[in-house]
Amino acid sequence: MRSRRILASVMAASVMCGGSACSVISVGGPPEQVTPADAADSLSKPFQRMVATPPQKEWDAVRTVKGLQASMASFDDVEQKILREYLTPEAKRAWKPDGSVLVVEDNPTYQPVGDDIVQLEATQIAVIHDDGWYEPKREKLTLQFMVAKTPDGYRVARLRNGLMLLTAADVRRAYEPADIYFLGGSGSLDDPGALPVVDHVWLPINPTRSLAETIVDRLLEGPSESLEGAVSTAFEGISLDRITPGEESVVVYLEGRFKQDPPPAEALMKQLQWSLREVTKGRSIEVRLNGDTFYDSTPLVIGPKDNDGWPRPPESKVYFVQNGQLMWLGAKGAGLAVPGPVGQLGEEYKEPAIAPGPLAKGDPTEYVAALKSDGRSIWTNRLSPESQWQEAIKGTDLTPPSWNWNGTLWTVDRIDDHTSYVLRHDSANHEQPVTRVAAPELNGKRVTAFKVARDGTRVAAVVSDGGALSVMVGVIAGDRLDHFQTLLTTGETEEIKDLAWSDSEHLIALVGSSSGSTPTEIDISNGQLRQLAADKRITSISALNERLVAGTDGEDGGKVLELVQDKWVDTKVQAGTQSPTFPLD
Amino acid sequence: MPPSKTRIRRRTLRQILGGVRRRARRAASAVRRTWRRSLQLQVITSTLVISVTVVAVLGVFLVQEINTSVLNGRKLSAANEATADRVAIAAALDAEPIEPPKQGEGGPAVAEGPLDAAVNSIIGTGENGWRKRYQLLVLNPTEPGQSRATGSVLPTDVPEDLRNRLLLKRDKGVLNDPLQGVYRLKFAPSAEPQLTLVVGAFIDDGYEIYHFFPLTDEESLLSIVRQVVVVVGIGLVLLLGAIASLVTRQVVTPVRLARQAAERLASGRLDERLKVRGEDDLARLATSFNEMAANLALKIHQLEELSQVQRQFVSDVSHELRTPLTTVRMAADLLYDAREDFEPMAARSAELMQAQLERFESMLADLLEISRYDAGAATLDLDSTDVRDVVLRAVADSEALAERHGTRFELRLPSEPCMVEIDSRRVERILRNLLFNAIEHGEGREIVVTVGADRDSAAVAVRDHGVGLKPGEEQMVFDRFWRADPSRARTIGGTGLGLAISREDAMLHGGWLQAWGSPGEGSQFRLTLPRTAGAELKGSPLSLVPPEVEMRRTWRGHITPVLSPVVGEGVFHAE
Repeated sequence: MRSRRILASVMAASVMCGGSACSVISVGGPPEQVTPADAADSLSKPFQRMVATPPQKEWDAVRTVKGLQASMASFDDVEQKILREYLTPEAKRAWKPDGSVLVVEDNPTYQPVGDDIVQLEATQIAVIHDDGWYEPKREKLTLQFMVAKTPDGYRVARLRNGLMLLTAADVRRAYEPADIYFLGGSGSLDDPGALPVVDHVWLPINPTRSLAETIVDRLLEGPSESLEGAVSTAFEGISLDRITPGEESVVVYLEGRFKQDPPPAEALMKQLQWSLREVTKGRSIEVRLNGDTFYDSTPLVIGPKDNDGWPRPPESKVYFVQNGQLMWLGAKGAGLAVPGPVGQLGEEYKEPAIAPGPLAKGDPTEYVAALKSDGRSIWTNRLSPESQWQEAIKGTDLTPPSWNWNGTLWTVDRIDDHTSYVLRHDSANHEQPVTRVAAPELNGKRVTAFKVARDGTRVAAVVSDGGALSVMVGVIAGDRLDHFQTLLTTGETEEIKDLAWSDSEHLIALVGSSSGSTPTEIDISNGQLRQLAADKRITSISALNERLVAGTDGEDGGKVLELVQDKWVDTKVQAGTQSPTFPLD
Repeated sequence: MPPSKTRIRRRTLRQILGGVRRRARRAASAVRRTWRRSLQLQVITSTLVISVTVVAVLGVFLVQEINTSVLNGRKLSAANEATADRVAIAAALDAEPIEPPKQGEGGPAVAEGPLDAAVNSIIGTGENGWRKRYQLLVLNPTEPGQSRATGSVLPTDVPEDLRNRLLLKRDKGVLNDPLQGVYRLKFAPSAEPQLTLVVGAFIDDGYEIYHFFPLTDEESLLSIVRQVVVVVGIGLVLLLGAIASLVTRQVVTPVRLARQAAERLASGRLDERLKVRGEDDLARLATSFNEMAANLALKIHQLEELSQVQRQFVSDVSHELRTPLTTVRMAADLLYDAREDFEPMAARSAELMQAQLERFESMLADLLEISRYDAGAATLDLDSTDVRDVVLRAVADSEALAERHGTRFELRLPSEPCMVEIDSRRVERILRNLLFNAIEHGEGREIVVTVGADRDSAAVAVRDHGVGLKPGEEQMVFDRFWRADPSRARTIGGTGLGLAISREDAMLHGGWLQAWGSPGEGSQFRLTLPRTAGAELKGSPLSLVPPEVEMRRTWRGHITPVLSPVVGEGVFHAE
């Protein structure tokens, strides 16, 4: 009797246990915080890559050359082992990659020319230099590959030394574009006003390194050739060990010894955060040096929004000239006059350029520079009622003035059709004479427009070399202008009416033709052109980030238009306006 | 010639090994002894052995089941993902490229090929791309530029046997029929090999598609499961051991107490009792034990009383007999003295009566002596005495008898005095008894009397070369009225109490009286006494087995010398 009772109790307990509380997955309970499994691991993007295929015996000459080109796109094959299988022993000995890559449009044509030559025809679009600099260069490309029949099938008997040829699709697979940031102006690491200068590079994908590590590796190598001598970096003497992702922060392990003592932490933080902001995605960055905290006892942590205010954007205010009066655009098209002599441009001054202060420490006022009507001198004035105009630059035939962030005023003096001098004047120091800045690549050309970019490093110029006009972009490398590249060339019947920087990476050229004026946006990182809405009336433009305004020269005496949703909209300013401009345009 | 260093080292090593072996043997025998004696240890060991077996079998089964289900689940999901990808790639390759060239993000304009588009859609390339847990390899060895890979996988990572099997299938015209296998692959020269599930299939137009699914998570999960099973198993076994220990302790402790009580009872502490707690079986055992002990104590008490009465009776009878015996003795002396005046028959009767009266007197004296021992009235009159003198006196007393038996004494005495605190009268009596006994059983052969001494003790050994003792008789020789051959008459008028009294005397001195004998080899009695009265004996300066017998046996190689001479050899040790 007693054992039966025990048995019943045990069975009841088993049923209760198995049926409810001890179920395999518990049900109920308070909701929990959700943490994605790989929330921390997003320092890389997924990618695919070309796998090089060795040459096959049954392939004809054209397929062999195609295979050779495809094997160039395989970034696994670092030592080009498979690529070399396509070459005859002699060609193998002669060929060595030189680091730069020719980029052609997709689907190049391959044609056999005779028995032993395969000709490739394509449109070259760029050259990627070994430092990642993507130099847009559009031209027709014809390459001939000499092939030889061997017992193992066709082999390439001669290959242009150093040739690495990728199609656009190959580049998209094998490279990752990245914006690396340096500091404008050499030797100004301690300057809190040092501006970020973007170096847009294409980085070969390294399967063993995360994208963040590849970016920082490249950052530590210094600027590419396009910015050489024009920017400075905080990372001299430093190398990267690794970057480990976390949910809240990303830890960057640096190694080495900074050239500067103490290390330029401020500059380092700015460069690192701006260069990594695409991959860190709102996480903070902790920097460790040689396996330890950055400072002796405290870590260096860069918050996700620490450097959002770098650089301080200029005030988005449109200035214009109306019947000789300098005004700025208020609400609902109201024109507000700038008081005092500075506002009285009259017939004497034209093409005003505004620079936000301070140009020098302790000088909070804004400056105005304007071209004298005869085009032979540039005058400056403070944007205050009492101040008077002062002559800054004198020349023969000056381009409209262009301000730089650091308070220098730039123009180009056209001596004749083949001689142009770039001139610089320091407004903060009136006593200092005007400096002629060397620009060897502009020698022999006539400059019709010249603008300094808002990053204080890049300059754009419209040049005429006898016939067509070109837009060239270079950099201020100390006391010279260097590394110019041509990004836009007009046709015979076209002209470039104006030039404006919208930001440090985008330049807008106002291309005029018989059919009208078309603002064309040039992406200086890759040379891509984008035509914006055209309007026959437009004669001048000015841009600031997303805003683009234009001045017209019609029968009504001129208006100010603004591009809104790809349409030019009248700002309702009274007629008779000219030269709308944003500060630092 | 001095021994070489090598020999010294070798010997030292051998000695060390020997020492280790001895210690190991000692430890093993200690363990064996502990095992044999401890019921608790036996129960715990059995429990541990059984539970280890059960837990091991269950653990292996459990781990295998979990392995199978985890891997099967992973293989199934991998097969599904691989099939979906394969279908997508095949569809993309079959379709006509209809997409217009698209403007890339800040890069060159790209007309994305069908293969690129398919692979991109699989891996989710782009800003919001989600990293896949697997790597993909699309190979087309027949067309240039038609092979793709994701992650760090290379064509050389494809397992050869998997590809060969796929090639066989393709040669038979079977396509889109995937095969899979688990391999440990190394994706980079410096990387650790990873457990990887590889799914491969051939599709149309010479394309080969391989998926590499890492099983590292599953491997670490299963490793954790195995560790948990091992830890839980060990914990379970230890728990079971602890439970067995606890349970057996509950049972064994009362049994052990009962054993100790029984041992104490056996040693004479008749008032020993067990505590009775509760009403269980052990409590009833304790009750029964206590009853048994009480009954035993009662019986022993009764027997002691009876024995006391008997001893008292013997003592009283002996005393009572002495008075009439004295009278009878006086009368007998008169008759004996006047026997020459009697007729020969009467004279002979007077002589016989005189002899038997002497024997009767001796017997009465021995009986009275034994009674004193039984009554605990025997005391020692200690004095520091040279044992050699005592031996000489005893030998002198025995010489007349020895001459009659034609026996000769050989005395082996130390040259130095051998002083011992003894009651010389009693020791002399012991030796006399031993000598008489040797003469009686020595069959006229030589009797060797040896005296030996060391720092703590002195010993006298009396060796005869007579008939010797049979196995087991060494103990009985000290029994009262014991006779080796009952049919044999006492020739020298012994009372049958001499050796019993000698043993009592030896024990009174805190000494040993031991006998050795072997049929045909004679016998030897050894008396060992402490030099200082009351000191505990730790050994004897003389060997109980005569040295010549020992050596003879060693030479014959019958037995190992020194260590095992006495078992079954007729040695008795009386303290």
